[in-house]
Amino acid sequence: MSTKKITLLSSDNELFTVDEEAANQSLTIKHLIEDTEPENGVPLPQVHSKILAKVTEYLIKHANEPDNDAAAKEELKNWDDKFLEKVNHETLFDLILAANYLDIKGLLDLTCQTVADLMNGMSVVEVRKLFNIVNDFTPEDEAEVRKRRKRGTKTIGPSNDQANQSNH
Amino acid sequence: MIRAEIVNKSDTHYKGSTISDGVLEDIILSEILPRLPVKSLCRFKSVSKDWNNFITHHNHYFALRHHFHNSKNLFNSAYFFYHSECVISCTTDDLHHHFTMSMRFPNKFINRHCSTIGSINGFFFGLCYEPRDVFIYNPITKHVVYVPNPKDFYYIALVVHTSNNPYSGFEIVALEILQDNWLGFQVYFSKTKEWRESNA
Repeated sequence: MSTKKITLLSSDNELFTVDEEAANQSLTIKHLIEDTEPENGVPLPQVHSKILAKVTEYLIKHANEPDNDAAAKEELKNWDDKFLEKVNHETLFDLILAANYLDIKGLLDLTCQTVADLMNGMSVVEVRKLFNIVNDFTPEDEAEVRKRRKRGTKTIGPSNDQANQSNH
Repeated sequence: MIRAEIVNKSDTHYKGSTISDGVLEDIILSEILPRLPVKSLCRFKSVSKDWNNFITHHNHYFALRHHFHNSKNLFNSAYFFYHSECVISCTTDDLHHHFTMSMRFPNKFINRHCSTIGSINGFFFGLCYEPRDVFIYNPITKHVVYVPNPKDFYYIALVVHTSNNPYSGFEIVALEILQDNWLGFQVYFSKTKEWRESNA
């Protein structure tokens, strides 16, 4: 059975060819094909070839998702883990942007969860560095944020009479 | 066999994005932060003013998303309903199956801002705002049971045990986040019709 091929055109004019079934996981591509019927490839001016190569790799792997095959699901999950293993932070963020722009739910979930797992073990300073965020708190502001959190403790915290149980 | 072919190569220099891209910032706040455990979320209020505002003012949003992301049950849902219709998005076990469906809610909920917190065995556990109502709704019989309001909370969940029918006995747990290591709990018992406070 031959399937229809879709050609995708990256921002730097590289062409990627995938099966329609794989491409349709991106709702943006799906709608672009339906609405404009592009002849010379679907133009994706927001996605660089370096990122689009990764995206198509994901789309192809996920084109035929197993329904009830536990082993195949496990294999796909392992593949997902490996897929982002050696990706640097910058590429990971670009994949998130691409998944968001191309509307690929599975890829957006995967990349966002990866960043969340990464952040989970980080300190506030490390998170600022990761996202290049400037600390715009004045020392007074920062003290106030901490104070608010402490004030909460007094309401139903360790000082509460009813059940003095420590978390650890 | 499906495969990608690179038909044409070019040498354009590739440059990655940074947080200054407003889109990425939005995604971090709306898609990534809700995946973090509450402890980390509390800590990251100190990252910047934007983060502090977002985490502080979107408690309910986070609670819903937490419920959704952390669900391990076969059938779980997170959804909003406006007017008398409900849009439901469901996930099954380890596969992410999302679909939406519409369902009519009783007229008394029309034009109120309500959200459904969870569903168990076909029963819906929901919240309405201004004034706040906590309720359990059976879509088949259209029967609604109201529960007295808890104090302020971050996360609220319905617990049903021993029976399949929430009306025959249930508990509701409302969780309040305090300082990093502390969580405040309020538990509602359907038998005594009272909220009780404890901590852990």
